[in-house]
Amino acid sequence: MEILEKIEKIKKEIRLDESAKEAARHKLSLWMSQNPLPDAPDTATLFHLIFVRKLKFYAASFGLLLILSGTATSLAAERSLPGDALYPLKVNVTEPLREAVAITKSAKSNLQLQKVNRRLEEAERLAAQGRLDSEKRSQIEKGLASAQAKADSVLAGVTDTEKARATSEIEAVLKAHGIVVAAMSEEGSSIDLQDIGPKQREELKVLNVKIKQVHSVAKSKRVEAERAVANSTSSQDEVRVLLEKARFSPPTEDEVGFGINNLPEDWLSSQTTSATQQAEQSVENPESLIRQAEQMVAEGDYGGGLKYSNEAQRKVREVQIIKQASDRFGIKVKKYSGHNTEAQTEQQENQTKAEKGGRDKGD
Amino acid sequence: MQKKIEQEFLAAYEQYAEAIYRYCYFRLWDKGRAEELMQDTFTKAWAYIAKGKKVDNLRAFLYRVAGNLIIDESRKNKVFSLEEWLEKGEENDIPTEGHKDILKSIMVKEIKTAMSRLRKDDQQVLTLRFVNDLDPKEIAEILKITPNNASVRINRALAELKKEIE
Repeated sequence: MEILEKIEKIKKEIRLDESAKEAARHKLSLWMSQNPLPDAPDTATLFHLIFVRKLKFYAASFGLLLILSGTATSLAAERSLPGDALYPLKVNVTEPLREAVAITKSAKSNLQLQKVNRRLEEAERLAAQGRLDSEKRSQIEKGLASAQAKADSVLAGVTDTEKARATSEIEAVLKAHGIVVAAMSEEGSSIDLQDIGPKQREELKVLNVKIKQVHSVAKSKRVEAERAVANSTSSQDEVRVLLEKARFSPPTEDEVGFGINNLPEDWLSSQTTSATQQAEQSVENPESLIRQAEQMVAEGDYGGGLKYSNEAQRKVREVQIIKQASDRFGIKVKKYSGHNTEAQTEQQENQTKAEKGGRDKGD
Repeated sequence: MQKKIEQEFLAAYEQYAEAIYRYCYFRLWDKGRAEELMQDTFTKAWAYIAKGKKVDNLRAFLYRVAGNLIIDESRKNKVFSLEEWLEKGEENDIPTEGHKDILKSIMVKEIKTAMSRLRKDDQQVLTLRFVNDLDPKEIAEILKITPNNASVRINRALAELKKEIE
């Protein structure tokens, strides 16, 4: 076939420019350093790290054996909550062990982010089980403060771009959990479980105050780091890499719908716009934020590009955490009818059934 | 071990970047976007591996990621308008200098015109087979179908292409 002969001739002419290939390779290397493989040190390296660095906790090697062997004990410890027998193993052994073997600053700061997330999940799970009291709440708050302090210490030695990214993620985790905790503390809210009594709600409200404080600090650090990036010219490649990363985690339809239905008023900034409109803006915007970020970077405004890219990532992360909380407590996700035609159809069918039921009764 | 994986991945980049670029170009008909999507393919593939996920056949995986990105691209943007593209003319083409290149330019336009009239699936298999020179077994690996199925699709796409240009 003649067209195939033409394809054969032309495809040899379609070459990737050497400069474009080189530029892409450079970005890929940067991306790979920003997104390292999971920490999975081999045993020889691990023993070297433990005994040469002389870890404080004697139980560290015991914890290592537990982690490497994946015993039921270590798995149970991972799921334990404040007040459980295995909880000290979780916070005093396995978590410090993970920190000890994290080599890059990025990995270390990610671990502190995970700890912030874990502490807040623990608080939510305790409250859902009716077990959150002031002692456990204080324990959670201390864990939160400790993770934040350690994150600050790690981030002191990183670039402004990395600092902005990491603090932005912490900000998102805090805000999302703040939303969940606020919702759990309100009677009759979307997350309203039977075991959450008045005492639980009180503790959750106190915890929410602390979360907001820590969130405010994280936010101001993020803003400061973004400003520093805007005022420097050395962060361009890093910003591009972060922007590419931001494109890769869009929320699913369910997450979008859930996010819209579950954003309580007290976390929304404007008093004049309705909760639904704000929620729509919050969850619909990640893609348009990324496009704006790309536009800014193309125009040389790396600070602006970073700011919008971070904002997009935060919005997606917030919705994902809120949905995970909903799934954890076994609450059915409500679908936002404005986006999901299935939900619209379901609503219409339900309405039709209800009308039919009314007519049948009348007959 | 981690260092080894990183080195292997970068080696795969050296080996397959051009092929992935060509694949993207013949699907999007835009040099700039093809370069971007080629880069996106590798960064997205690494993001997947960095989550600890296993990839048995990296080449097939890269083509699959590229294929998905191309689909996302066509969903995001308005439908590729052949008329607009033809109006853009030389901007989209291979570098042109002189009489020989004018002929090349005409050939490219003919190929694009013919391919753009096919369904996306047919464009995909024809590009993999005749642009990227992959055999049915390799195409089957990418599309997660049987080699026999891949052969059937290629033949069907060829038949459609023949119909379009006659």
